[in-house]
Amino acid sequence: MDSKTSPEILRLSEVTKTFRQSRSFFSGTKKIVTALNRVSFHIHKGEIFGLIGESGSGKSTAGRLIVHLDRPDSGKIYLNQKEITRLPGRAFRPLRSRVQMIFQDPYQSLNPQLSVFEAVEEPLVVHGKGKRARREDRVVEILDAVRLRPPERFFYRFPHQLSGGQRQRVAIARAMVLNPELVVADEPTSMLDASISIQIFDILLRLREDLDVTFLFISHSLAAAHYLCDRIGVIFRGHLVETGEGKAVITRPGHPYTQALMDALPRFACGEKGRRYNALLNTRRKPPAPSGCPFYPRCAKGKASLCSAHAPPFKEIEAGHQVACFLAG
Amino acid sequence: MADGFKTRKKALSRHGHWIERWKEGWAIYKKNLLGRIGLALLSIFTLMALASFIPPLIDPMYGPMSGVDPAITASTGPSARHWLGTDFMGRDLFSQLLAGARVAFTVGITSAFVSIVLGTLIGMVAGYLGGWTDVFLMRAADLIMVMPTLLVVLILAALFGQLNIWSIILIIALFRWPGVSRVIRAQTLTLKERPFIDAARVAGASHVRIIFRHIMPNVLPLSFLYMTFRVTAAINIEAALAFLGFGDPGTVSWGMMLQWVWKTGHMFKAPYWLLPPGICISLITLAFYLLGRAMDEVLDPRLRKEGERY
Repeated sequence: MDSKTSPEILRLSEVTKTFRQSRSFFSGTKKIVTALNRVSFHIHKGEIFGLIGESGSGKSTAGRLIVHLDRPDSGKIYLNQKEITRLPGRAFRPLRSRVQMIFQDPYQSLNPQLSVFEAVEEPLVVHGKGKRARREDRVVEILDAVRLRPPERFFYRFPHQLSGGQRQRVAIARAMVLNPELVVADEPTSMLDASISIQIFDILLRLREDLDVTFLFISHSLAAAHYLCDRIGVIFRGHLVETGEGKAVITRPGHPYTQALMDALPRFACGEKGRRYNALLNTRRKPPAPSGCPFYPRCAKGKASLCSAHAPPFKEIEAGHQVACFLAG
Repeated sequence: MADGFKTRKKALSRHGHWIERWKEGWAIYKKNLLGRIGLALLSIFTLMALASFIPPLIDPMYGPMSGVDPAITASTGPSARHWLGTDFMGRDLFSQLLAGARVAFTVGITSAFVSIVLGTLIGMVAGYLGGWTDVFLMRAADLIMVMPTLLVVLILAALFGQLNIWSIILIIALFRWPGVSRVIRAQTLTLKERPFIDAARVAGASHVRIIFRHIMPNVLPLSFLYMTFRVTAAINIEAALAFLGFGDPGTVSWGMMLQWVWKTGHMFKAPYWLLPPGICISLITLAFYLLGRAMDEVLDPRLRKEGERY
């Protein structure tokens, strides 16, 4: 995929989102959790962009902001060069059909009372696409595309009658049925077995070829990202720390956090060949000043004078590969 | 695939889900002894209500309200001519008892239905929208819930004179929704957080669509469960009203029969008159209660006996 020539479909610019956690009625002190801290990245048309991070790093929040399930506190989100950040719900509705989402847990994201046909048909009904017969044809088409075959046999099955992989394929069909331009896939395989995951990945790859759709793939797994993604962004506690071509990020990780993630991947049958970065500190340092590098407390390479006081800016260590670390490159 | 085949297959399987759920539910239900007793009692009362149309056809003197046996001028005990005897002016008690079953069903089921429709709607809206809507609706619910229904109906009856049976049904319904709406609201609050609601929003569904298409089917079983308990309450309230003399004078309900026993001074003289309506009221409320308990078990797997397999 030649991402440099194709136009930009999505851009996040300095997006910040915080959540207020009210502890209890009486304690009154409200804890503010920053889910995303001035995150900027963009996605080109037709590519699969992987957003990688540990749980709680804010990667799902980014996905929810993009599909307008939440609103950012500050920053801007552009879809096809058009700002969508502050669009009220009604104005955003026509755009809904262009930005869809696949949810993490297929056991939870399908209404137990709706049959497969009703679930997949719903987006078409809501957006007033076609008469009943036309919709039926479209549902057949899309169920076939996600390899639920023969589609008619699945029409009146209910979620509890399907396996996890089948459910997730129904969820994918539901997201795809409107022919969206951008699909946010929020850890679509984290609840599934490894062998099923690969099937789902292959379906996503094929859908990209056939339907010309762009994916934002959210995952905690670098391995999955390596398999799927053209470009990768690594996110740590709400801070984007590294972006770049998928291969470049995986083979030449520039940020100590990405290196730690690479170290965390189990390796077997390759002897001592596997390079280890040892980027993670065994003990934690005291958290830095709010302006310091967010990874400093865990970073084995961090320098107290530099990293604990200043936030590292993005630095291009090779073409298209940016790292937010003073020591990279 | 031929179109004809496609449509026919659909007709067969479109509602398969519900049929299957009913079958599953019935399999659990029929293992419950109390549930079976409740259902048996209910079928008896249903038969009584259906049979209430027969006696007036046999002879006009068996009309529960206006039929008077010309040969009788005072209350008489059971005989071959009047199986349960007659009241003070010679009306047949057995046909009154049958008519009472019909009234009990009408009152119970209609007012329970209206109250669960109201309660479910209000509960879903309050739970889904939250905020001030929720506060307002739930405080209104609290307000109505703490009002003693019987007392309020008595006051209304005193204000407006005799209430007819449909007004009584409506008033009972209007006072019995808060309980349902609290339960439905709680259920809606948990459903609202489920990802499939987010999924519906991403698909572009409006709030109205989310409430009716995604939340309602998931709370409806609970509503129907509550309906059985509301039936019990409605029948009791109507009986109490009628006994106190505020019932609809144009209908023969069991409460009315009790009022006549009492008013004409036959309370301790005519057990054949006093006991049947009293027993019927107790048994029909018991029957609906047992039905509800057994349905509760169908809907809530935690209530099933440990180790039992279905």
